Amino acid sequence: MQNQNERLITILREHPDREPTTDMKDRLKARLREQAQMNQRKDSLFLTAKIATTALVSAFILFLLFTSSGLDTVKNMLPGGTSSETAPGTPVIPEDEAKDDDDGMEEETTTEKIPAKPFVEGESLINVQNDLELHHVDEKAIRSFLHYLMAAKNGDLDDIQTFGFLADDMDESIAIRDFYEQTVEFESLQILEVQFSRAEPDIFVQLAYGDKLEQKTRAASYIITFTGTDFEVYDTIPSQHEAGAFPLTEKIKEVYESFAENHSPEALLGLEPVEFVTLYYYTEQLRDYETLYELHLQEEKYLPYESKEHFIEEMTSQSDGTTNLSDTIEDELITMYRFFLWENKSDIGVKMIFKNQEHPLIFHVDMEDGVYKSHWLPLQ
Amino acid sequence: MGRDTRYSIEDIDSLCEIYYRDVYQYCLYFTNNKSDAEDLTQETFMKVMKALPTFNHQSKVKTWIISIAKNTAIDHYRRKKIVKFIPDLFLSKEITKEGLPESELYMKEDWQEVVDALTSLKPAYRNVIILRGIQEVSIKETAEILNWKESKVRVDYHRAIQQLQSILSPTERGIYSDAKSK
Repeated sequence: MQNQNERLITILREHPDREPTTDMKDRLKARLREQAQMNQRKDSLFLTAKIATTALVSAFILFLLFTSSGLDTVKNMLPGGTSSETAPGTPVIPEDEAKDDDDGMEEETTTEKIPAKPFVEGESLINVQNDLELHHVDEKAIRSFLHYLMAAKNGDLDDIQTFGFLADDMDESIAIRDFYEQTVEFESLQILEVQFSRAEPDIFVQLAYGDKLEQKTRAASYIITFTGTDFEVYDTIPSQHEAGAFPLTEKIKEVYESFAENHSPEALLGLEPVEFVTLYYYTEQLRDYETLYELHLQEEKYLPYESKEHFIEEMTSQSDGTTNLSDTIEDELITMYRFFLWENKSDIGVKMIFKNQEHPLIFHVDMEDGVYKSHWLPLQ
Repeated sequence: MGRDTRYSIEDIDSLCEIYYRDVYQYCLYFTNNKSDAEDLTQETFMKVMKALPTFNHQSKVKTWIISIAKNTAIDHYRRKKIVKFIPDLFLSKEITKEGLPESELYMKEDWQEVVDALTSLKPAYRNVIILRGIQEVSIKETAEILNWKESKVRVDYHRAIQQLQSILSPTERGIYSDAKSK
C-alpha cells in the first residue's frame, strides 16, 4: 500500500505543466511592478490630500478661535456645551453625583434586558434559563429544554416524551424518569458548557448535577436538536461516564479478552454502540491489529484491504505510536452518545464531542451477525 | 524585509522570484488547468502585495503565501461550482463499470488520469495531497496553511490517498469515468 501511495505521488509529479514558464514569471513580475507603482502613486496622492485637509482644518479652527462669534460656535460644538449654561434656579449637581446618576441609568437599561419572570420554577432552573439566554441560545430551544427538565423533575412521562428526542419508547422514558428521580439533585443544576454553530442543527449543553446516590457532582450532556418544526432534547444522562476519558469498564476488558481469543461475534453480543467504540479504542491502544481487523465489517464489498495481513502491515508501518482513532482523539472527550442519522434509523453512529474541537466526530457502526461492527474509516 | 508597513518594488520582485513556483504548482494541481493556475498565481500575488503591510511574521513567509493561494483557489472553486451547478442538473448519470482485472489497474494510471482523480476529490483532501504529497510541505506547516491540527493532517492525508486509490481502482472506475465526462 505504501509503495502504491508513493507511486501515485510520483505519477502526479509527472504533470507536463508542472514547471512554470519563464515567460509566465516575467509577465507576473511586470504586472506586479505595474500594480506596485500604481499603489505608490495612489499612496502619494492620498498623502497629499491628507496634508491638505489637515492644513485646511487647522486654518478653520484658528479662524474660529480668533473671532468672538467663532468662539461661541466652538463652545456649542463641545459635548454638553449648551447645557453648561444652566437655567436660573436649577440645582447644581456635583460631578460625582452626576456620575452616579449616569450609572443608575445604565443599570436600569441592563435590567430591562433580563426577562422579568422566568417561566420555570426553582432557583437552579431559573439560573439555567438565564445562562442559556446569555449564550444567545434560540428562545424556542431554551423553552423546550426547560420544559424537558421540568418534566424530568416532576416525573411527567408525557412531557418527557413530548420534549425528549427518541423518547417514544416507553421503557426508555421510564428509565429516564427513574434515573432523575433516584439520582439527580435538581437544585444543584448548573450550566457547564454550551456549544453550537449556525452550521449544525444541534445545540450541545452540559450541566453539572449532584448525584444523590454517590454524593458527588457529575456532568450530564444534552443535545437540543432542531427537528424541522421544533426543538427536542436528546438526553444522554443514563449512559453518562466520567468526563475526560473513554469509559473503559471491566465489562469492556472482559469482552476484549473473550473476543481476542477466537474473534467470535458472540463475544460482542449485547454491546451498545458507545461500548463498542470504547472496545475499538481499547484494542487500538493495545495495538492488537489482528483483533482490530475483526472489529470491522467483514462483508467483502466494504473491505479496503487485500487481506488481514495487509491491514496489519499497513497499521504497523504507519504506527508511530498512534493509529487512526487514537491519532484523532488527542483532545479531552466531553461526551459520546448513540446517534441516529436522520433519514435512516438503522444507520447508527456514535457522536463524540471534544473540549477543544469545533465539530463533533461521528464514529459509524453497523450491524453484522447481530452485533455492532465498525465501518472501515469509521470516523467522519 | 523588516516590519515596515511599506514595501518596495524590489521586495515584491524577490517574493515573486522565490515563491512563484510553489504557488503556481499548488494552483496547477488544485485546478488541473494551466491557464487557471497562471491566473490564480497572479491573483495570489496581487493579494500578497495588498496584505504585505499587515503581515505580522508570526508564520513563515512561504506558509503565509500558500495560505493566500489556498484561499484564492477555494474562492475560484466556489465560483466555478456555482457556474457548473445548473448544467449539471441536466446531465444524465450513467455509470459504466469496466471491471478491469487487477493487473491492468496501473495500465491506465498515467499522470492525466491520476490528476483528474485528484481534481475530483473534495477540496480538503485535494489540498492535503498537494501540500503533503506533491509539494512535501511539513506536517506542521501544512497544518498551519490549512488551519488544521497536525493530527488531522496525518489522518486526512491517509484518507485522501486511500480515496484517490479507490477512485482509480477498477470497481470504482465506472463512477470515475462518469465524473470525468461531466
